[in-house]
Amino acid sequence: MGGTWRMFKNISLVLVWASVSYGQILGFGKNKVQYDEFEWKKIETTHFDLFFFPEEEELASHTAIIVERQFRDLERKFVHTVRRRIPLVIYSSHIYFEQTNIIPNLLPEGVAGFTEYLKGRVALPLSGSIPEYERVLHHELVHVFMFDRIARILERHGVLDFRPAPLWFSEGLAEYWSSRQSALGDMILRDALFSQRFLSISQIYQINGTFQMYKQGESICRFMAYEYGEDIFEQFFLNWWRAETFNEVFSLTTGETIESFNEKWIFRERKRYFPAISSRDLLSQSAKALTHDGFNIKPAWMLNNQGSHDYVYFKNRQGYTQIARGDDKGHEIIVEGERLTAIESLHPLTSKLAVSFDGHLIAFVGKSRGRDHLYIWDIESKKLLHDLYFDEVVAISSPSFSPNDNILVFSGAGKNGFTDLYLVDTKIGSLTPLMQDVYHDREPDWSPDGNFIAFSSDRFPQGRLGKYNIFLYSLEDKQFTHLTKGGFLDQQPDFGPDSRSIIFSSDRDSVFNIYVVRFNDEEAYINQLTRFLTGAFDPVWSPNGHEFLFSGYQGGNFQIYRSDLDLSQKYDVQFFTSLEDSLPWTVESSGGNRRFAQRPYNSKMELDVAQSQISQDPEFGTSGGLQFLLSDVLGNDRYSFVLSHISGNQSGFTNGLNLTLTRLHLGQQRNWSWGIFRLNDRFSSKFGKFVREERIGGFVGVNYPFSRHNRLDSRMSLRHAQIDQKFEGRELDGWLINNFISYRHDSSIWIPTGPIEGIRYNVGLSQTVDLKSSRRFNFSAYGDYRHYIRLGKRWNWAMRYMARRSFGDVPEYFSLGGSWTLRGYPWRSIWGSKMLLVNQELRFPFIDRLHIGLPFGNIDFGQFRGALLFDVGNAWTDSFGDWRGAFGAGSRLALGGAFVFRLDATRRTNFKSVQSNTNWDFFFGWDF
Amino acid sequence: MKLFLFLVLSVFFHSACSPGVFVGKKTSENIVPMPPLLLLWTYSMDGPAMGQALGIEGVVYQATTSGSLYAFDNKTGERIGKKKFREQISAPLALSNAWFGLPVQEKDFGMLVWNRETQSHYWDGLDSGCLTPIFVGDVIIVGNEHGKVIAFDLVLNEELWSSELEGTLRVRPGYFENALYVGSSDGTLTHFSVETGKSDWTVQLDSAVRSVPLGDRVGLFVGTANGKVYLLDIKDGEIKWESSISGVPTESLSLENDILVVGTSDRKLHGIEVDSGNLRWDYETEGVVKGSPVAKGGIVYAPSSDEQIYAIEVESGKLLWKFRLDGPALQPLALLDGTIIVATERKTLYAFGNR
Repeated sequence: MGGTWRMFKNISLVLVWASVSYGQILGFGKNKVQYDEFEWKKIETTHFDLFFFPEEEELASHTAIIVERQFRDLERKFVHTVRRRIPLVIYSSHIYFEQTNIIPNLLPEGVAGFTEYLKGRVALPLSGSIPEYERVLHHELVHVFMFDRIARILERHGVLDFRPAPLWFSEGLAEYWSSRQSALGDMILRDALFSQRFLSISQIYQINGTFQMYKQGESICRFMAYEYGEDIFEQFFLNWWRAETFNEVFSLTTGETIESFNEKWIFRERKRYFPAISSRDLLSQSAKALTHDGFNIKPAWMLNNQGSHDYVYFKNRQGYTQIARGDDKGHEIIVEGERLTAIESLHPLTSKLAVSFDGHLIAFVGKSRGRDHLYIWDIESKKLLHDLYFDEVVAISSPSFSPNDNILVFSGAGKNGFTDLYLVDTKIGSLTPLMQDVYHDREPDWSPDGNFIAFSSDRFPQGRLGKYNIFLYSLEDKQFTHLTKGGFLDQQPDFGPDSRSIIFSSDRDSVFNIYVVRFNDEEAYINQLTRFLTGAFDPVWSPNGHEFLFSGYQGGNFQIYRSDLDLSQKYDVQFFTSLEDSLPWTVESSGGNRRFAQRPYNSKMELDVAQSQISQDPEFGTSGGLQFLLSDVLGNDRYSFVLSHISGNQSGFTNGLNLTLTRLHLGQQRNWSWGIFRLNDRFSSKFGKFVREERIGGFVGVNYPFSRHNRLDSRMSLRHAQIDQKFEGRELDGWLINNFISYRHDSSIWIPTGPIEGIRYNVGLSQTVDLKSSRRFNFSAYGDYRHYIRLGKRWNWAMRYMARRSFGDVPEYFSLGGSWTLRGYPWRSIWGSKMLLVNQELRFPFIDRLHIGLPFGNIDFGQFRGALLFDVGNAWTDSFGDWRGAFGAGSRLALGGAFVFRLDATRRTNFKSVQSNTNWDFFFGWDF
Repeated sequence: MKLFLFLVLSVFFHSACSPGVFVGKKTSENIVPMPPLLLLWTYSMDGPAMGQALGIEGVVYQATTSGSLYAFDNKTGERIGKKKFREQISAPLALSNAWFGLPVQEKDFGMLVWNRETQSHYWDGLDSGCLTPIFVGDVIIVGNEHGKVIAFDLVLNEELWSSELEGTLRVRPGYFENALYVGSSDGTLTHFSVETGKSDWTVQLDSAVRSVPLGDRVGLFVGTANGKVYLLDIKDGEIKWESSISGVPTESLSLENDILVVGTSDRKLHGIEVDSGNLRWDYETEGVVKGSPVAKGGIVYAPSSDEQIYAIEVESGKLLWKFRLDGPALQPLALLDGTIIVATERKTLYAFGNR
């Protein structure tokens, strides 16, 4: 399902200013790990600075030619040119792309590229298919042009505030201008219409960022071009300055309201898709659904102990993927994935499962520590037999066993980014490539007689347009045969028991359906087996030859289905293909004389952002002030400079100045930081509760992420401290050395309000020493363990256990109280050098949608979640005193993904009596 | 102190807002500048240009998006006046004798007529969305972007006629020999009599009309969004020929020596033979040709978003001269009294000519 799935998952990111969350530096959070170090180079084309590493030189040369062609195409469409040089960073694999420091966000596999606007950088990976890579590149360039066009027109008319386009419009236009109408897009829209999930323009925000939003946006833009002419978009941007809202600009430009346009658009889509119902079948009525809940795909047959066949498949019910086994009685999880460091991802969208012919082994691909691994698992013992990974292959997908079960064929991408088929001997781990070229060879399947490998590939002329056909590789004469023909997406081949028939999925009738191709030495015949309304993928032929499993899309979801295999010509569709070969295409740089001058990468610092009011230093956290952030194009080296002032300081202007300079090196797995600071402020928990301290000094820090989930943090600082508190009869004034080391783990899964499943913990030690006297001021140990247990799809039980203790002459003081810690008690009202805290919380869905009608318009709130909570803890120095507890209930509302509004009603208890009045805590912040 | 401040502010106010002199002397307009041109003068304005420079009586007028209207001496570049409008100018201005027609975006009106001789607000009216007007005697004819066309007598202060088209307008109407030609976003081109508003013909073209219809003895030239240029019979709208160009055409077409010159978003200037519609030549610049070309004396001048202006020989398409500006000139350039005036996005006004 590679190409189809890739399109399905290809969602680009548009980042205006993502709030920087350096998880690996500031606290909990998953890590972006730089497993690979690259020797970056630069090619300068007329409009682009193209950054690449030597292994992807061929891709870079191709990109340099293509991107200028695309630039010119967009110049025509926008009637505008982008005058700044555009930094373009390319990665030959999504695995490399995920390590980028251009943006701090973790990049899920579904992100096919992004455009960020601080430096106007575009970054994207090659994920196998060159045409798809070009499409994503074009998509991102639409964003570059759109942003520049809007910025220029607003600037020209003196409009100071940037007025971004709604997401559906910016992504929809990018899709419309970078791709053709596809069977996949049609599937999403048709299904949404039939299942009553198609949203009007005013409601699209509810599905922001989803694939359906992209496709609905594309459909709207296509209809705009149809209704008003292709140049309507240029007119839109010309008028952008004339109104504050998109809807007003729409009315100004088109002469009609967006509501009336919406009516016409929906009617047209209905007219387009509804007629299909008369000649097509619903999945649920003509095949047997084997799964019903969650997201289930890529089935494979598996011989069981009784000699009959069960099936295995990818299951995702709660936000992470597992491998499950099913039979008539039920389902069982075989492999837990995506919550473990060993298997960060199972690539369920791009890689199929393989079961050995004897039914004992299952082979699958998992990503671990910056590389794809091929795992071979014993089904009965549930043990890992082989963990295979290769230096020369970065990304792996879709393994298939040979009949003797000792050799596997799989699709793998090398460091140059090109995807070929490889054979691996599981006994000795030797690797043999079957081809080495630029074509996207994927989804191999080994024939039962052992003579052929069928695969889907774009190695034919229409492959240049993103089409795929089924090919055969003969293991005997090592020749390729072009089996199916035509400009279609023929994919996911699976051999029948006779080794002369292959079942596959294709968009040949404009909807993805299941076909069979039967071939001999001279010719091939293709029959259509299904005529579903929505889509059918991943067919696998049963060993007895009488039925097949497949993944079916309906109602916005994928499930596993079983259908009888009727080889009589059920549908009057038959194609004949001769087996002579046709010449494939080449990439632009191949064979040509055109070469680009390459320069070594120069880590030149440029301003990212200069802002006042809220400043965030990666080391010192958030504060009010003036901030400058500088970084290089790749984001590997950063400077942060923060300047602020304590207002009301009695001791003069210069004494109230706070400034910090931080340098970060993020280009390697080991992240270094150093900095200097001068701070004069009231600090909590050091040498008492709140004390004023003037600190001048510097620090060196190192963070070492072992994997996405685990890391070690350490830092040493030397500072001169002057504290306005007496200690042993004199003022504290001297040089202090502070160091700490901590180990953190975070494998939590989040919903917008906070974690819903997984574990997070953090244990650490720190000490502060007086440099002059070598006297240890304090030594602190702390631990924080959080466990989130899922009770249902949207219910969970959250637990937090926290303990801190500080020893020494001047111990640290810890506080409790407030919405972050012990709820029901005033903020930081309980202090001590020792602290214990336990939080227990039942989190559940409360109100799914709240729509409030007001005279001046309606307000729509998303999901409110509810919580029942119980907290107990204490902070003390000498004697423990009584446990302090609180219990109550609360509600949380995620506001736009960036903030969570929390409201808790609690009553305190000392476990002897309960407080008679209710405390109300209001807070912005995620659940613990 | 108060008196001093009053005096300073008064002088400042006067110098900043004084309309200055807005009337020049009659000069010949038939001088054609020949390349290589010299840079005669430049001026830094308070905002990016809104539309091309207009000229009359040796005075160059240039409006800006910030609402200023400058007046310069054509030859010396001396600023001889500046008028600041409080209204937001929304489309390029038109000039006819004493009158400036300013499309504006205001709550109550969309068109403002200002008299440069009396420096007074003369008339306002119509709805917002007005395109650049056309003056025919005392009548102002305005196309509205929503498809309405109005002829209004400024002396009688009454609407003479109006008509509503099905589509919206993306370019102002064209005027030729007492007739108005209105191209619409639905691809229709409609003839109107200026006197009566009566339409004799309408023709359907392939896509939205994107260039101001240009009338000539041989017919009516018009460019569309799909990159086509048509020659129509001016009597009945019959298509005589059509020619394909790549990209969206410039708002104005230019005719010289039986060659029609069109600029496009595909970075090109195209020279099309009027007799046959065949492409005689094309010349590729390094940026989008967005500002309309102006041809005279066998030479066409055109700006490009590559920050250069070009002089091309109309017969051959050969480059004669080019000059790098301080930014892209997206507005059309103007040929006024032998001087080429061009404004850049960087708010600079350039004047080129021969000494």
